[in-house]
Amino acid sequence: MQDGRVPEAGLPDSRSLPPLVSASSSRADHIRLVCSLLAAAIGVVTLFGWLTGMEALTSLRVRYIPMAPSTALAFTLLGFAVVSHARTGWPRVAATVCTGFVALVAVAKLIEFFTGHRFGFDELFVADPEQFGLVRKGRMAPLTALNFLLATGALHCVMRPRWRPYAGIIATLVTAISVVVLLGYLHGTPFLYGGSVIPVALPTAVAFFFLGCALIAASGQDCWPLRPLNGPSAGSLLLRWFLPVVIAGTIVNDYLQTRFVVGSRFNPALISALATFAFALLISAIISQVARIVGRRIDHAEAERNAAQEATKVLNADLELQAVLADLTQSHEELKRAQLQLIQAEKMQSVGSLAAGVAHEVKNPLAIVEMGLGCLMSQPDLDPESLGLVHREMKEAVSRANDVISNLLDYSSSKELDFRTSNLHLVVERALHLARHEFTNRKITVVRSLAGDVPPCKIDSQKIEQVFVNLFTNACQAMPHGGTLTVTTAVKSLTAEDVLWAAGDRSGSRFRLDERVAEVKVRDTGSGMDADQLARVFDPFFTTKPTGQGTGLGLTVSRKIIDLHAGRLELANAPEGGAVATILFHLR
Amino acid sequence: MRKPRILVVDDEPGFTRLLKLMFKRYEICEENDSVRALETALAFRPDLILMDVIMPKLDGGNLAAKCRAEVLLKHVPIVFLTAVVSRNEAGEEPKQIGGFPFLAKPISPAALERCIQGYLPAA
Repeated sequence: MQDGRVPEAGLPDSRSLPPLVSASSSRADHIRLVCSLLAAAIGVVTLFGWLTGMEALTSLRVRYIPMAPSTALAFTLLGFAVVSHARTGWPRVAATVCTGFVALVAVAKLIEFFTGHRFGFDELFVADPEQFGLVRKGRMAPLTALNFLLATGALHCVMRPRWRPYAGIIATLVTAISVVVLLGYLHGTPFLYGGSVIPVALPTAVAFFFLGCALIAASGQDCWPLRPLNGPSAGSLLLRWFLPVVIAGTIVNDYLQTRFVVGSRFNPALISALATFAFALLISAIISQVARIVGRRIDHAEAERNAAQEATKVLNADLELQAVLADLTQSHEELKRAQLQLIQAEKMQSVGSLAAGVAHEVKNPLAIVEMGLGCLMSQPDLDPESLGLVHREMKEAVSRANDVISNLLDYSSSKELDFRTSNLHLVVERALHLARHEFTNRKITVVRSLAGDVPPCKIDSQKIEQVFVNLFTNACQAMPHGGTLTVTTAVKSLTAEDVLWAAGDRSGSRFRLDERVAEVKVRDTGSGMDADQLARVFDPFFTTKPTGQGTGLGLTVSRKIIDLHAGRLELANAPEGGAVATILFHLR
Repeated sequence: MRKPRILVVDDEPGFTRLLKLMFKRYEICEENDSVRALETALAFRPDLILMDVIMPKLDGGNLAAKCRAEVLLKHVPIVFLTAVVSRNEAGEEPKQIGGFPFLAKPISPAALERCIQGYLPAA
């Protein structure tokens, strides 16, 4: 916590720390409390032992050196300090005072050890102590004093945010020293026993172990040595499992070896081998168990990660799909706009070609009329023959112009129809009758193939008659050297092909699959039409006939009439040659 | 002195017939089939060609180009008479279109006469 923003005076330092993971934080706090209370309790019990003369309370075993009363007092004070340092108010002040006091005592003891000078602090408790080997009982050991100095230093660091990272390191050192001493006791060969230096008592080592643990817990999980153990990472997880197991295993194995191998009645090698085997077995069992648990967690995490990845993938795919959809929608809109523009352009072109057609078809007869008038006016003395020619040409020109205009009017005003239930065959016959001169002149044979079951249709018979006359006239003109004109009628159900045939045609939607319709076919034995002619055959003023013989409006008007009947008029080349016009009428 | 020769190419027989009747002081040759017109022109050797624009099979523009490609017809002036443009667009006096003068149909005989006079090579 290298924190430049020093907390306000009087506030507990822990408050300036960022909140830790609450569960593990409270667990560390718990350990701190329990361990420091245990250390303090050992101190209190030892003091009680000294006061009552119960030696077992001060040394745990009679042949071991007892804990000095000054040491016991120091543990009591430090235990209290570790408990209360995180609080506010007087407990914190008291903790600071206690820490300072213990540090002073420790420094004094070290000075005593190195200089031989006596401050007489231990003498306050035990004025005339018994001997324990070369040393005297009731005196604080130098190693104990050193460890106290380290412990107070650690606590001091805990209470200073900026120094707290060092608290864990120092506290670990305190614990390590206590462990070394404890291991000596465990092996039956206590550290420094038999020498002139006061050894560390067993309860002292135990109390230091607890105090060290409390200080490590107090140093916080964001500092070494707790930091690597903390957190959800796989490394921390493994460390949390393996570290205690390995330490405990090693210590137990060590203890067993020293206890049973040394001075045993059995073969030491055998015992040693057995102990090693048992240890290996124990460690393997523990590790396999740990691996199972940790492995399961790793597998679980892996599965979660994969699921998350899949979810991300699906999400990405979804996003991509949405982008594509947006693209398509935009394209569709653009296409629709383009289509509308195209339709508009086509309409304008149609209007344009209509106007140009009208101009050409009407102006040419007008030019003849004007030229004729010019002749009559400039040459009053024309011979009768020439006069007749002028009259004829002018009359014909006027008639042609009139035809063009009438057809155009038909084209534009054919919206008003007079629908009546009529016999289609009668209409066909009337049209054939009207066109009979054409057939005779061009030596055309008419073949009728009329079905008997065609029911009456609701049509404007005059307009339909006009359509038939148009179709017959066209057929005749397609056969200048004679031929056969076949009129076929039938009632049929529309096949998928018939409906498909209408795709792209605006009349396509008018007919449904399997619908019963009346069909009239007009087929000639002429030369048929090429693709270009077929494509333009319904365009206004499109004609293949010589000038003056057709207005190019016949089929345009015919289709218009059939459209108004919600029917369909199509022109195609017949498979057997010639052209065939097909008309479909609804039967309803 | 021979009469100036004028070839009239138009798919309207009525028009060419009346034109011939109207302008008797010229030697007029009618041709109603544009495909045959070049042949006719080479045989007739006109001093001026009056030509419709919209004709079946071969239109006036292509025919004029063919005439220009012939050595004998290269210098013969060509005037278009067309019903496609209106008189308002063309006006009474000939205007140029693709290097050729043109007049709008219907045209008054007087305007046509003026035009013929204007384009006939000086006799």
